[in-house]
Amino acid sequence: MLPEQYLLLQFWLPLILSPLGVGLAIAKDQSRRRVGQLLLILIAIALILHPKGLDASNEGWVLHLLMSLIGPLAAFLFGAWFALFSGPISVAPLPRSVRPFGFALMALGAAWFLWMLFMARPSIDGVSNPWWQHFVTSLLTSLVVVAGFAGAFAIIMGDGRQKEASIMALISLASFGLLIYLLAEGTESDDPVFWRSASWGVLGDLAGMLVGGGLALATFVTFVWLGEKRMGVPNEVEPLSSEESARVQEILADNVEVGE
Amino acid sequence: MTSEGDAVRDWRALSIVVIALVVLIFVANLHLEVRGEVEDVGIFSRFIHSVILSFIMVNGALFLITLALSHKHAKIVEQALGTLFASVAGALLFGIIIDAGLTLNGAPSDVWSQFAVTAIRLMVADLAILLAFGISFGVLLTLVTGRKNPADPLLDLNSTSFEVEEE
Repeated sequence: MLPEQYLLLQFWLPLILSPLGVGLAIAKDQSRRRVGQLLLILIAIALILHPKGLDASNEGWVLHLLMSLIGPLAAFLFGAWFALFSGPISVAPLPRSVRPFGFALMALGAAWFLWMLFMARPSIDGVSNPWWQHFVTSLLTSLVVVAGFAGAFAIIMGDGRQKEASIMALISLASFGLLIYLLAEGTESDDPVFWRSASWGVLGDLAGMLVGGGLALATFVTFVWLGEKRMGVPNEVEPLSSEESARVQEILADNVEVGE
Repeated sequence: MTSEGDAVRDWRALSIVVIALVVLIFVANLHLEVRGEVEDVGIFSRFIHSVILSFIMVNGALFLITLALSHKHAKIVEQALGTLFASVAGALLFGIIIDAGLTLNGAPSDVWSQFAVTAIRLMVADLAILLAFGISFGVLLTLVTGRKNPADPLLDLNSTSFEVEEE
């Protein structure tokens, strides 16, 4: 069974081209950067102008999931932005009074996400988003590991960072507790059996991503190494002629005032 | 000042923390899986599909980024051809395992459907991983920069002028 043409043109093709757009957008050459930015804008437009209902395909449901997350994500990101730049930093500081507002926005983002989790699972006309459980269990599993790592990093590498480490440990433990609660009790809309199945499947996906991604990176490093190895030793450079030496000395004398 | 041995010890400790957390999550899932009802998710098939598709996607992305960042002095033949061939080899292997019957539950058994479902799952998981990094390190950065440090005394010192003064 082949996908419909609109999915190929307005979902898969833009996604496949996105690494090219990112690569061009970060190139040194100005013209390439412009092409990359234009390509990224076109990719965004193609994804936004999805011609059919989002509940008509698995791909559409992914876009719906992204749209559902815009609210809590924006609240969290703006909150982090305000809290970060209203702290005692010398780079583009905001008024100090904004800092509590930033933390409040971050808390709002977290509360919004919890509300979606327990009370309002993303859905269209009563049909729940099929990727929601996969996303939530992936997020909580990743948060346990990443926040735990960040906490350990703060305490091992930092200087007197106990407070920061304890907050990161709290995030890690809270994510773990929430994950276990979902697996044991479920939510209003979903039985724990579905959460357990989603979490169990996610473990397979995440482990596969680690192995497959790691293998791909090792392959890439091997290709780069082979390329470097084949380049050979560069030819020896001829020593400077007497005229060239004189010219170099002249330039040095003009600029550094050597020998005076 | 930390020596090289200290750095190795620190990173070893961090690796142990990460491994311990991964084991903790796995054991918790296994415990609840064994105790309660669960659907047959075909974890082995999902793992194999995820390995192959991650391999294809990472190599494909590296191929496109290599093309985007190439320039006239770059020696990219091995890099570009290697990543392209690795992606193609991964795609062929994926087709072979689907033909061999190692398919996912809950999706049609043709190659495209199996590919699309796994690719979407990986993209959703990628999004979740990115968000986890953003949330954790966003909060950590906000907290770390919140500490007030005493002013750096070096900032008060005058720098020496290296300009040649005319007599």
